[in-house]
Amino acid sequence: MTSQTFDEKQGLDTIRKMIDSSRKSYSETAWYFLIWGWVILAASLIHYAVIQLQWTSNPMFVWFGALVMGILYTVIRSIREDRSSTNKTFVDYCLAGLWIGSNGMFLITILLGIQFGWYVAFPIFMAIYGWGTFASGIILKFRPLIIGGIISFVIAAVSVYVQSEEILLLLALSLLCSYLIPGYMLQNRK
Amino acid sequence: MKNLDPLLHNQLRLSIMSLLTAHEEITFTFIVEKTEATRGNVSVQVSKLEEAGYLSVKKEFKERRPQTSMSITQTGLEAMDVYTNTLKEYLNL
Repeated sequence: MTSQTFDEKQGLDTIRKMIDSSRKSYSETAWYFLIWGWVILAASLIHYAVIQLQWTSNPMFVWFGALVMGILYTVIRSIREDRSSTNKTFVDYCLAGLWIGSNGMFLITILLGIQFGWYVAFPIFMAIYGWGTFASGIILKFRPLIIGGIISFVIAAVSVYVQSEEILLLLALSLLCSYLIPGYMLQNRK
Repeated sequence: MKNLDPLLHNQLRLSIMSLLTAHEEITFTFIVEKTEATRGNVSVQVSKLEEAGYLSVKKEFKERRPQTSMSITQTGLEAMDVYTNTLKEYLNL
């Protein structure tokens, strides 16, 4: 490319071409949905199995293990990606802000669960999954995430009235609909 | 009708500014790749845009390698806004 002057039409074409070349597919962001989708889905099903089979009186160890694994993987991978990429779009910043903020909400909900019981906290977790997925879908203009978010809201609303261990199955279903299915679709997005 | 900003009405400088409007921050190497211009030419144009206050340049070491990155300033954003609106007027869009 040279630095000569050019006409107005070329000016507009140049702006379009450069902005188009900056577009990303964001399929690489799918790992976040997949890792957390699988971690929480597995933890909720194991928790349910532990209750049904009466393996232990305190099944919360399952969540502790799941959260430690998920957080470690997320932190390591995020640091590695941050090091390798400086060219961040405004969409990158919106997504980062959204999910960092959501993590703050997750933390508050964990405290709520410890204080008032997990049947109170689980519907809020599902609502946060729904909110993060829905908002990500809007930012990325990706319909499966938007639909997944809405489904998660509906499951969260239903779960308010399910104050038994079956709420864990609803949590797993919420993860399947809002993280895993849209996550795999996002991963395969061109 | 307004005159087009001569600093922006140049293919390479406009390309650099367009890339900057789409990103929070970009590296010098990224600009070279996207514009397919020579490093020397990009360097000259970046300096002109920096002198005009349209972009800010940051030099740092990343993984022990020097890296130059830049971001658009408020002045640069406003200049791009005026430029694109004037372009639309010229082209009756």
